[in-house]
Amino acid sequence: MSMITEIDYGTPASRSDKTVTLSIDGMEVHVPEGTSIMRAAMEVGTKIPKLCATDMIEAFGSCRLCLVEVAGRAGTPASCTTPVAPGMVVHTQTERLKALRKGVMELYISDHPLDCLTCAANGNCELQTKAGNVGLRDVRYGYAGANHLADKKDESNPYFSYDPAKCIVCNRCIRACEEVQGTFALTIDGRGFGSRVSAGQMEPFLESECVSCGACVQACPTATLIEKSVIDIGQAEHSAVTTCGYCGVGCSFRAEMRGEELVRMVPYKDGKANHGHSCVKGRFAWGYATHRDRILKPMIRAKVSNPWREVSWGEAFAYAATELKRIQATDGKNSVGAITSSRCTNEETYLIQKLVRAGFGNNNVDTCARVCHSPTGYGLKTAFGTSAGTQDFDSVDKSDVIMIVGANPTDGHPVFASRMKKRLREGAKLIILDPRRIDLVRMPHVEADYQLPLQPGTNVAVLTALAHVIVTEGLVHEVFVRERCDPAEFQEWAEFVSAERNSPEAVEKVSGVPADTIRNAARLYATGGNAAIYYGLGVTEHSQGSTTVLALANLALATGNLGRKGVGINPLRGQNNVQGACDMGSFPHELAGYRHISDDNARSIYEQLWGVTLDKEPGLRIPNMLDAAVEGTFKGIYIEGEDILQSDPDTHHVAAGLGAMECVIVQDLFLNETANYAHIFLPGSTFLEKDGTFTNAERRIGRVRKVMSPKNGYADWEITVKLSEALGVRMNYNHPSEIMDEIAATTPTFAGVSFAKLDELGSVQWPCNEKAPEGTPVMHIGSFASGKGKFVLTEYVPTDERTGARYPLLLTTGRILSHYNVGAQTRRTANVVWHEEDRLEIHPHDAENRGIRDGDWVKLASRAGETTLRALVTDRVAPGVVYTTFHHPSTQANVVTTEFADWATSCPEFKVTAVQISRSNGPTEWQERYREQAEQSRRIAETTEAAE
Amino acid sequence: MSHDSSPKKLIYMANQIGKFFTPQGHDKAVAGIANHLTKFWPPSMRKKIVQHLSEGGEGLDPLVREAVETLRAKQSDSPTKPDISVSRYPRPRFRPR
Repeated sequence: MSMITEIDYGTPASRSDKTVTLSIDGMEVHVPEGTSIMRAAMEVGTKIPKLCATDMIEAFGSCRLCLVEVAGRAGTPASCTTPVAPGMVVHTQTERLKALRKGVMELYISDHPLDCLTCAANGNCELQTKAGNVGLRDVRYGYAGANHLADKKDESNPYFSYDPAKCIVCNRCIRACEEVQGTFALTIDGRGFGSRVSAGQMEPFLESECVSCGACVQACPTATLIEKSVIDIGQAEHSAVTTCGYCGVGCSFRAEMRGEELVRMVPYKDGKANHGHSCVKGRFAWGYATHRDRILKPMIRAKVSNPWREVSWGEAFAYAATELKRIQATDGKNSVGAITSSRCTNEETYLIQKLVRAGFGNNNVDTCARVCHSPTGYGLKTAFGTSAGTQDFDSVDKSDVIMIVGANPTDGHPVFASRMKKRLREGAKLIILDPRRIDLVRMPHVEADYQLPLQPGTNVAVLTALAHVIVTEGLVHEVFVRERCDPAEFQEWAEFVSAERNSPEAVEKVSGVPADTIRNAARLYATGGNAAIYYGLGVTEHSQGSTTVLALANLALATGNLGRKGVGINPLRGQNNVQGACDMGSFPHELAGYRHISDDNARSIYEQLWGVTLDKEPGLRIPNMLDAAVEGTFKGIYIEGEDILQSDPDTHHVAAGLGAMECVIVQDLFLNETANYAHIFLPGSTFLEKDGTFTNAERRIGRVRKVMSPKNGYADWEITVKLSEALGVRMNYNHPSEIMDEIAATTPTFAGVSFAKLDELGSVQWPCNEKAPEGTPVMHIGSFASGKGKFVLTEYVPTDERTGARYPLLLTTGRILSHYNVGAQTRRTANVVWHEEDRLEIHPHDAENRGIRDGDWVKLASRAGETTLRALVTDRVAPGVVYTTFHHPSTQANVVTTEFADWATSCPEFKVTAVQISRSNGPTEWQERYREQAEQSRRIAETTEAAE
Repeated sequence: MSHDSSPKKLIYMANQIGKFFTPQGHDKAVAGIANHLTKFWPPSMRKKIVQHLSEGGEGLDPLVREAVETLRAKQSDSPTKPDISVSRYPRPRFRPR
């Protein structure tokens, strides 16, 4: 495997369709109008020396190293800031230029440490390379003059260091922070020779607004900003492109390696989802892969009160197979099931559902999308015929109006948020529907035009009120509706939304959003040009989650905001492979490609291939499994990559369900909370240790590439294969590519997908088949998968989770930038410096009423349970609303969430829980008990000690 | 709601489905509710809700009751097969110690 190097063209590509022809060093060059001379030269392989230019950011023209001569023009213009012109004749290397560049370089080096041999960037330093390029042999000024060589390093950030002594003040880091990340955390402090890069107002990086996305580190041409892992390990010697294992943006990274040691993850510029950008999780938070807590040997125990006993893989598989068969023999074939995870690859997920359907003989397979985006699948399939978002991420560049509903992209999907912020800085308008004041409401150079701070649980009312305005004020896109929708359905819907009860004035009373704001937001969405909706779990995790997705679809249909760039309905998927897990048939009612299990044709494809008869009835969902377990009819479960005890609602009920089962098999990296109730633990592998694919929120299938051997011995797909074989179900695969071949052969929307194609194209977006051999960036152009777009009536039904005297506040839950889901991975990285515990956000008014001060321990109690955590007093939440995250098992925020769920999909109502907050002295009795139980449960017997 | 698939919980869930389809008018709503229960509920839950209807159907909203009625009619057309134990597994390759 070789080192992948990406060409730096110096300046961004021009988007012009018009071509310009010029001559560079005697070569004829054809480039788009607007291209810089520097980039045009690089297009034909001529590297003009540069320091302040890099193609991720706009040209700046400060280093004066990239000077060129242009025939007929006076002077020596900077090639980075000079655009090409027809007939231009450029010379990049002349005696005059050589002398100028050498002189410039002398000045730089006169104030730079000469420690190249011991510098962490040695061999990968642009300054060093350029000094060589210009032929620098000595520095006439000497090194004794004023300099910055004694400037103090800033080591505050856990992942990178800032050494101002090595800084050449090229401004690349500052411009990357502004243009790529959009945080504006960096600036130049001082003037002239005193100019220094400053995080915030000359603060340590850790204490500044810096979000540790790594854009500045990537942009730095020297060792000024450099990864601490590179300082520790040294420069990498080979690399592979892979897909991030965190959120649904699905960023591509170059995993840079020395042997089997990961040196650093560098965002891949050719990655179609991230275009060379990253966030703190994907860029830096991969240390969990080698964390001491990782379990590397299979373990079994007869009772969960016993310590674990390490066993061979063979014994673990045999024990698991025996137990599952025993249970089925005693309690019937439907008494066992499995849960896949969005952390799994497509291939792993496909195998698990195959194991369940073909091996267990039932359809009791579900996935963690049950508790996040299952309403997306239902809603978008009903409206458009396809259970997926309509656009690619690049589409946002063409949006004129962006409407964010129940999502917090800067925390949950930070890399896409940066794209979004860039478009907003270019002038796109912004509407935000969220009970909480997310960062995008107002941040540097971004301000929402309308924020609708609705009462939790009133999404449907507000969205239907927006539709009311669109219909009653004549803002419907009639041509689109006439051509693309059923006229009778539209008419019925238009009459429904026009009813007085759906007017903004009526809805103001339930939602708390001023009618005027609703009206103005609706007008902007309908008339502001290309309008795109981006939404998250604030939409889906409600008792009307599916209705809300349908209400969003209605808005897009009514205004014709579908079927082209810049528009659409875009679910922001939480985990890396939510889309893929759903695509692969891990819902109990659907085969891969969203074909219902009752579809005889679809079923027969698998029956013939697998040589079994499949059950045509839907199986149990996760909550059904837990209910059945409590009832005593469901007794065995295989859970890969999911921690339902921490992530699913009503922890007590989940614990009761798991506790009632006779065989709980957990396959994971760590002894997670669910494993406290497990009888068999199969150690899993990280995304660095296996091959496969992930499918991101824009339906983009990207390769996951193995860069190191699985520390546990097997990749996850191999574990499922071996478990299946122990059960007697033959799975004949030598490599995940063969699993994808089977998926492609049996799933129409994936028919054109193969590892070979992914290697060739980098990634593809499904549908990828004969009609779209290179994939489908934008869906529903010209027609919908279901023929006509479907308008659906969305009556607002208030949740039954109501506030009252005992529980007067509404709790809503969410995520934070530095942590991922239940935190099992990120809590085992240095990301804990940003968030070492879950905090309860409470408005100053509510805090004052309860005598709560910032940092106090508080008890959070609901009808379901109670826990304690520390308070964060902030007006980010409205009076009457409190908010927390669920990243830490010591808090177990889901102990208070309830069993209320979406009517269509059983997606839990995480976003609305009636609670009371009171002062507390510390952990609750339950928390203490749980901690003790978890400690007991995680005991691993010495190898000589008998476990049973 | 209770913590199992007892009639009380199933009634709640079925009525929740009913509330979504009700605005679509009687015929569409009854068909929609029945279709939803058939497509998404496992047979064990459908059986229980039908059983509850047979015992009087207390608590079911009127349109939901009608929808469950259609499920009952279908069930009586095709009686549920007994849940037989798995026989598809061949002999295991591994044996426990």
